[in-house]
This record gives sequence, structure tokens and C-alpha cells, in this order.
Amino acid sequence: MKLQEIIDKLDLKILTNIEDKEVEGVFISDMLSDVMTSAKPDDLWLTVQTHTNTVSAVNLIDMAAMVVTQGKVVPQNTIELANRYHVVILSTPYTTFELATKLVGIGLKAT
Amino acid sequence: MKVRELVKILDGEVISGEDKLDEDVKSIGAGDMMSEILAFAKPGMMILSAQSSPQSVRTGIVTEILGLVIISGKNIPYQTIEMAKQNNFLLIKTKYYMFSTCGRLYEAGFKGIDEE
Amino acid sequence: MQEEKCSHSWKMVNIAYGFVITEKCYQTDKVATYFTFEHKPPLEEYREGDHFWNVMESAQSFRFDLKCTKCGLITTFNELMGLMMCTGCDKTCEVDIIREKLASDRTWVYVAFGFLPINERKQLTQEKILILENYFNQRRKSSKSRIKIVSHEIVKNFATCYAEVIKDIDMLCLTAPEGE
Repeated sequence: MKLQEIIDKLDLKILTNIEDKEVEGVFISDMLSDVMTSAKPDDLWLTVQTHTNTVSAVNLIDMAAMVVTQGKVVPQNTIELANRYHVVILSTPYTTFELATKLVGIGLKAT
Repeated sequence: MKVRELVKILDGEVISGEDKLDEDVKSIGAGDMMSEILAFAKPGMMILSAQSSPQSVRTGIVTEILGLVIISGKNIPYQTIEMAKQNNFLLIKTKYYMFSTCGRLYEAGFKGIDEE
Repeated sequence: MQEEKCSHSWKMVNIAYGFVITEKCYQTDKVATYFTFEHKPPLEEYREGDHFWNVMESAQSFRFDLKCTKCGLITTFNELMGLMMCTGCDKTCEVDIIREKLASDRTWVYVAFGFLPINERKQLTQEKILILENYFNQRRKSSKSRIKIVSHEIVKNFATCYAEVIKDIDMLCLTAPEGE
């Protein structure tokens, strides 16, 4: 599914520059260690982490975008770093579990 | 829905708190940061987490949640298991990753905290 | 040799979670890091020879090996403490010079760093760093961007380095981390 379609259907807020791309899967974790061991390229990453080092993790695995859940405020320096490295950051007021259920609801497959 | 059904849907392994299998799961939350879990945890909630350290169980006991599901087949340290058993705290383990775990529960009709 | 002929296809195996502890001795200003499976780092200052160690940070981390799915070769990475992405903070640092050179090709530069003190611990060889780089590029499968991994030995000054370290801190604290 295209990133833009997911954004539109779930009303996700776009915090950075954006380029549309294909989302292949969903990865959920608040631990960068787990991103390093288990995330896949082109995954949509759901997390409550907002630190600048999330940009470092997204780039390492080449994930499609990160979605900050629970309405957590993303610091300006994280957004600036993300823009420098073409990392897309989205946000939602929903909890992680709730957003996960909505992603399944619009057709993303939980493998 | 009952804990028993949740265990079945997740092909789960009940590590402690077997006597709670017939209790109702009121809501579900997911997260790996203790400070976040502390903020959204409510009595009767099942929490899904990749954090298998004793701190997770301690947070669970303090917040009076129903129980904790450790996801992605992570190894659970014996200190965590000991603490759960001593407190008769419901601790479940599943091999599924977080998105699959959420997806399976959603398809079975479980609700998130926002829908309460 | 068969190993040299194989165009390795790497997979992460033997993943084990633990903690990376950073300790400092205020008598000698020495900083040391180590990996442990223990959930509780020593909370009080303790003595070791001339040093009085105090825990500065405990980060959740993990260990792993890379295994070639074709020839079965296993490369261990116990010398790797972590990866950090260079964000270009010092124009005179060799890492930044490499970053600057590769940025237009969308090649992101990461630094693989080992345990401290650098000259007292076994460090990653260049060969292992290259294996790690190949692993992540194979895993990314991207044609649009690549990653380059360099050794921490070419970082000009760690004390003033603004690279983004991939680590998990404050995850087990019951109080929210800074700024909340």
C-alpha cells in the first residue's frame, strides 16, 4: 500500500518533507535494538520514541516512515535531522495498539 | 473476552497466574517504555511488550493491570519469572511480533484503550 | 579456500539482549564500557586497582553474530558496542569528510564503535566492519541509498562528537526521560 494512502485513510499528521513510497509491512517497537535486529526495509515503524537517534535507526534499515503514536510531541531537532536525511515522520493521537488495529483494518497484513 | 481466548489466539504460553485464565480482558495497550506504560495502564488491561525485564512485572503490579504479554518470543530472565510467580501475576509469552500480536487480537475482537 | 569464493549472504543470528554499562573513574577521568547480561548494574562506586568506578549510564543493548546462509560461516561481533550515524558536526573530522563526499549519492555514514578504553579492548577489524556494512546493505535491498560503515578510530574527538548513537536508554525508568 502507498504511504500517502495510509496517511489519508488514517488521518496521520505529516511532520517532515514527504516522498510517496510503497509500504511493505508494519514494525512496532519502542526499542532501537529491536529495530536493528528485526525491522525490515519499507516497513512503517510505529513508536513512542521521538529522540533524534530514531532518524539514525530509520536510515540504517531504510524503513518507509515512522509514526509517532499517542500524540507524543516530536522535538524540532528530530524533525530537522529527519528532513536532512529524507526520513519521513508522521504522528497520530492514537495509541500504538489502536493504530495497529486501524492498519489491519485498512488492509495491511500482519504476517 | 477471556484471557484464555487471548492465549489461544496468540499461541501463548502462560508462565504464571494460571488462575486468571477466566478473567475478562477489559482493554489492551502496547509499549516498551516503562514511563509510557505507567501513564496509560489501567486496571483490567493486558499489556503487550517486548520488555521482559523484572521492571515490567513490577510496573504491572503497581498499576494493577490484568497481565503482561511478552512478544516476539523474547527470552524472559528468571528474575522476571520469579517476581511474577511470587506475586501471582499473569505473565504470558508469544512468539508473534508486535504488529502480528495486535492484528490477531484485533481480528478476534479485542479493543484498544481508545475505544473503551 | 571455499570461504573466499563465497559471495556471502548474511543473516543476523544468536541475538542476545543485555546492557551496555558506561563507567567513569573520577580519580583518573578514565571511562570504561562493557556488555553484561545482568539486569542490575552496580549502583555504588567500587574499586578496581587504581580506579573507583561509578556507573554513568546503562543502555539496553544486544549481541549478535552474522551467519552466511550460503556457506555457513559465522562472524562474531562481540567487539561491537554500537553504531552511530554521522551528522556532520566537525568539518575537520575524517568521518565528516567521508560523509560529505558520499551524501550526494545518498550513502549514509555510520561509525562502528567498540568498547572503551579503546587501546585496552579488542576492537573490530576492518574485515568485520566491511562484513557488517555488507550485511546492512543486503538487508536494506535499496537501490536509492546505501550505508557506509567506518571505524571509530577515525573519529577526531569523541567528546565533541554529535553522531546519533543507536541505543536504548531510560526505557526501564518509571519517570519520563528529559523534556516531558
